[in-house]
Amino acid sequence: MDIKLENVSYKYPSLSNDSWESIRELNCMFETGKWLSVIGQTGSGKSTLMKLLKGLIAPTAGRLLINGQENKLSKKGNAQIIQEVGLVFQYPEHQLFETTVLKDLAFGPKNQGVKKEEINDRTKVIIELVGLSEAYFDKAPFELSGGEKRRVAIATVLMMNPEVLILDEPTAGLDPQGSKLILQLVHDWQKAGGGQRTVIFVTHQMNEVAEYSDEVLVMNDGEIVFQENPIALFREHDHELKAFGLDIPDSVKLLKLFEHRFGKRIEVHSLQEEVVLEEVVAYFTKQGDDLL
Amino acid sequence: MIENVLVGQFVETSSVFHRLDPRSKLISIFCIVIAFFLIDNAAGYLLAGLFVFGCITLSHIPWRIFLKGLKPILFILSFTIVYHILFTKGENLLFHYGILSIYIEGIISGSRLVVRIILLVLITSLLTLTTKPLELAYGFEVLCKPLKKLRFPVEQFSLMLAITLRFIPTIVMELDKIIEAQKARGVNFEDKSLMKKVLSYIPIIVPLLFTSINRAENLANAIDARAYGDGSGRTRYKTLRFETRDYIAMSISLFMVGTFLILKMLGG
Ligand SMILES: Nc1ncnc2c1ncn2[C@@H]1O[C@H](COP(=O)(O)OP(=O)(O)OP(=O)(O)O)[C@@H](O)[C@H]1O
Ligand SMILES: [Mg+2]
Repeated sequence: MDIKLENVSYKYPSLSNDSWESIRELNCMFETGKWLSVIGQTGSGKSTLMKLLKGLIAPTAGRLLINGQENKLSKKGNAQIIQEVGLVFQYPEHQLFETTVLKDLAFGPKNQGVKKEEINDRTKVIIELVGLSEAYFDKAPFELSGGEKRRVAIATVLMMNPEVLILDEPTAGLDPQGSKLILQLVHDWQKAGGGQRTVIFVTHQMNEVAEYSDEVLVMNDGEIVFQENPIALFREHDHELKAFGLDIPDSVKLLKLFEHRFGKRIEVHSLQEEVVLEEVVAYFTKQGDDLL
Repeated sequence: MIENVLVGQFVETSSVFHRLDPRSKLISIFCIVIAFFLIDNAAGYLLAGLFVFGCITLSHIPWRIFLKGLKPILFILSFTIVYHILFTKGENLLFHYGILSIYIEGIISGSRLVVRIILLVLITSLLTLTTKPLELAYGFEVLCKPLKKLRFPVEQFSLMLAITLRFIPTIVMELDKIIEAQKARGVNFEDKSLMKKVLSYIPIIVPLLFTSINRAENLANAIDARAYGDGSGRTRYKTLRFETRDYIAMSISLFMVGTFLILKMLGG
């Protein structure tokens, strides 16, 4: 499913008149099957953009196109939810509201009118997919740890079979291992979709961006300042990113350091740490071979 | 929803109401509420309406905001008026069908009550919109000082008031977030009968209570951590002082009470 934004702006309703637009004149495209990472300083409008993409709020100006069709308002003039988009909210506490994990998992598909047996089957597959087990079914969501809550929150959204999965800072507050697990499970979910599943991943961790992104969207002060392939973005625009208060992944730092020291540029096809290290080691190995 | 709940929301403008001492605002509002309860004729409603209109204009806060504050009570208002129209008996029959008979008196008494509620809500919104919750609680505390002699826990009570006022918007915002999360999971709050709508809010209450209790616990710990104790004998960063405008405001309110008393006696 392709999602396109045309000149989209959004201003939160507010008591005083002096509020500003949290999103300003966005133009961008979210293509089917891609992994898009969204980065930007706190308050730059990332979460607001995610809510727009799910149809929780409607643009105050501009248009949202789903596969070329405009997402219209409901009969009553409210924003219209987009069923095919699954949104995992920034704060998992707001996402879980049933008394047990099992009920919470069934909540979404039940509203969609999915049959009971089908829901049962899905719960079993999906609880495994997020790295938990059926032993969790009867637990209350409130008594889970932070990392478990996140995984259950993701599971509840996957239960609804989305074509586009939006994750708003799913790794915030987790240890590196917990973050890796989440990244990995999202990757697995996407791969299982045969190129039809889109991932939109909001994060403050540049190393996570380096891992799987096809494209990176950089937001600053309600505007999109870059939408680019991560290699080009981080290698060419590190100074601009710094000005927006953003870092670059460790792997790119290594490449930069290397370039600076040896005056030589290594071309890479991915920013994953292992890949970059591999390339650097390969370079030295070759140097050694040449010397001999 | 948050934009429709005015309690505890403060709007910064430069108006005389913002500069008034919280104590004089509390006393004045108290008087005016009493005055409004005395109203029982058309002249009184007209005067009260003009008074509220004048105050709101003076506050420099847009009307839009006050009207929003009325939205949540729309249901209560319509219920009130329907109840009165259906069940008030009188002498002037307007309409009769089966067991249903509607009297002019019913319409009049219903509208009166509705107008009175609207005026009361508007004038008390003025208080909370122009006073920060903390100032309001402080004013309340100082005014209630004499009750301390009767061992009434004034400081704790005012802290409670401040916290309540401060957290109502937070809790409503929380409610908004939970509703949003439920919408994202396929709950439709739109195409439902009223009964179903009310029922669909029940699952929201559970997480709301949970997060609120959590927050209360954290807050209690924070208060303890800062050694608040029972609050007695604490000093203030800012002390209150009555200015001329405060005496004027209180006089006007007292004057209102007098006027409505006279109107009532004349009318009765
Ligand atoms: N419910 C709301 N009502 C009014 N303004 C809001 C609301 N939510 C967010 N904003 C404002 O919109 C702007 C963008 O907020 P948003 O939450 O989208 O930022 P973000 O990029 O997700 O930040 P973070 O990284 O901290 O999550 C901010 O200026 C914020 O104050
Ligand atoms: Mg956010």
